[in-house]
Amino acid sequence: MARGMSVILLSPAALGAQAPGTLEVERAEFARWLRTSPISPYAAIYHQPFAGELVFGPDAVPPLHQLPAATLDQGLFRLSLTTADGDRTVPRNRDIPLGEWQLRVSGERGRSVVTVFGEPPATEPPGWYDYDRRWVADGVLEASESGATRRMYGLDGVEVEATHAGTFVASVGAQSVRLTVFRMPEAGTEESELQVFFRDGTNDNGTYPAGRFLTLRPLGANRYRADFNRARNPFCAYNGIFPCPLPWSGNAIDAAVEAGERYDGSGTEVF
Amino acid sequence: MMVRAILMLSATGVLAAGAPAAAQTTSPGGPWRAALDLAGGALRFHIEIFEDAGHLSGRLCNADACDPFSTLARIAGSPDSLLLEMADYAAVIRVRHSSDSLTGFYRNVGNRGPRTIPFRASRGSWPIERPPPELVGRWDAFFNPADNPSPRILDFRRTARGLEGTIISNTGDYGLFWGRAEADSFSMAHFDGSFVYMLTGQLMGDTVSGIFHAGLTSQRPFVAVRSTGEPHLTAPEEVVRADTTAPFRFAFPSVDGGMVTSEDPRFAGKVMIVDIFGTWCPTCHDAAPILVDLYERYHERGLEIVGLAYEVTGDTAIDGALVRRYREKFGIEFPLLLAGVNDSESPQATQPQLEGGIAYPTNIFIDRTGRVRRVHAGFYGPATGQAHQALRQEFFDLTEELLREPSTSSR
Repeated sequence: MARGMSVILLSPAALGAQAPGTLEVERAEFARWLRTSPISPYAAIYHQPFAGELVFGPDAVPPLHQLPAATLDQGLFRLSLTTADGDRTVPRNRDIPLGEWQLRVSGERGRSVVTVFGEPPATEPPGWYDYDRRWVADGVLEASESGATRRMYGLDGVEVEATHAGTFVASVGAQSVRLTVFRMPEAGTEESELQVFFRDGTNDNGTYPAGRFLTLRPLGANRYRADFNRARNPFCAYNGIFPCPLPWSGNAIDAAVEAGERYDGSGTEVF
Repeated sequence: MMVRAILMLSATGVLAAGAPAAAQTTSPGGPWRAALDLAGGALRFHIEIFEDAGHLSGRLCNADACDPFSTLARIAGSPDSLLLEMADYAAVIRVRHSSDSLTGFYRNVGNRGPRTIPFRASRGSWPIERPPPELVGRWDAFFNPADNPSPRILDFRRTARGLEGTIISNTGDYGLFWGRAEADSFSMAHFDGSFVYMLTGQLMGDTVSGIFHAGLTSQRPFVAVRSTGEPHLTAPEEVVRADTTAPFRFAFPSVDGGMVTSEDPRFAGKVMIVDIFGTWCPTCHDAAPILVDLYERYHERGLEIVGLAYEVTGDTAIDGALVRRYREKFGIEFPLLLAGVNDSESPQATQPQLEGGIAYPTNIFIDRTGRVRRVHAGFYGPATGQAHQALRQEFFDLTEELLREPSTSSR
């Protein structure tokens, strides 16, 4: 059942969390991470789901001549990496040296994904539209009755077990929208985010063609804020080796949402 | 309890560590009442900054539980800006300071990029607001009661510092929470640089309900009723089960070099506690002092303790250094071995005699014949008050009982 969408008063804390000044800090930190982090999506040269054994180097199919010969093996209980230097246990979500590269395994047991990183290339992040208060939409979440779970790609191109949280109902621009919301877990923590993967009139004309992610911020009393100034690209926008999520059914906004992260070309192609 | 990685953060080139204060800046030294502004409200805690001849240090406190910042320094070229670093969690608080305020943000880094949460602080301490007597005590809670109920125990205490307590799951507690209460509403939080937890709610007769906040935006509803004393969580000895038909076996490298195995003569006919732990695990830090006490009191009578560390990197040099630092911190005299890494596969691979997964810590009590007699998953830390004391006594009583048994055969 849809509920009213009247303006509500925010607590000072909530207002502070939404202020453009804070947004500038978020953007600056994120841009710095994209440019310099050893695990920046720009630095990724290889990204591959695997279940059993995965071979690197010249013997790989297709050959990966840039990488040293190595085998990543998901055994019954143990994930191991065998190189010319020997065998070692591989923890998840940690950087492991592989020659001059860094290897990182994420995902869950049986649904692992390996990403290999090199030096971040001198790539300038795509930047953002100027902050625009008009693209901040408050609304209600109509809770899902089923709470069904589904395997789906998250923002970083890694599959997670997402839970259908419901439908976010709000006015975006001049349009009343109903956007599907999934709760996406953060591995290894108690945290999870209510996320929307949406398409709008700017796709392929200022923003990434496949769409963008947005995290809903709770306002209390079942109300949530969709601040499209915080809309983010999936990792496939930075680098073509990451898989792109399929657009979520129905999450199309007619208006050109000129807010959030932009896109000005194809992702970097490596290999 | 969910775990987070320990990563090392380099701030090289950013800090002016130890640089004398610029003459025109006000000293940031002193106590500060601090807050992280989560979407669901302010998470309150305290920080303390010390300045001695221009050199800065400080610590982050939840009630009287304080941890030092790994680095606290002015930022080069910006003398009114400070960096408060928590290197173990790849986390920093970066602020600008005036005479009476600190404003900035907290940041840590995950796979999907940095997470920033607004931070602010004013000089002094938060007021003490004690909870009503009706709130004090233990409550049997369910997180996500409507769609995916998950049991917890909430423990509220009224102390000289206001409201203190913790949350307990099947595998241990979430550390010490501190906060306040006003009429029937309460808010208490735990922030250690990595975990950003806050519990807010309301007392309504025989029910407490509210929201568990994790991080900037994550919220889970809960509802609780006063504990009757009946079991609400899975019993610690049911979380992890062990094969008791054969002697318990292990063989791992010591942090001092060389292999240590269950077959070593030093363990023959002895009572043994095997402690599965990680230096990254706060609950393991809570358990360590009790193991040290047990070893001091009973080693001469035939108790051996072995710590099996599941660390972060899998790199012997890095993990070994972390475990040696842990040993030094607690004055541990029993062997600590590098058993693996803290992912879901490694403990099962290295402990095939255990079933049901691994909680950190897990303490395995082994009798003089080498058979497992009790497996205790998780630990109730000091934040749980009476439960901590009861568990401590249980560990001592069980050790006494096993030591009294005759050594009828060797392992």
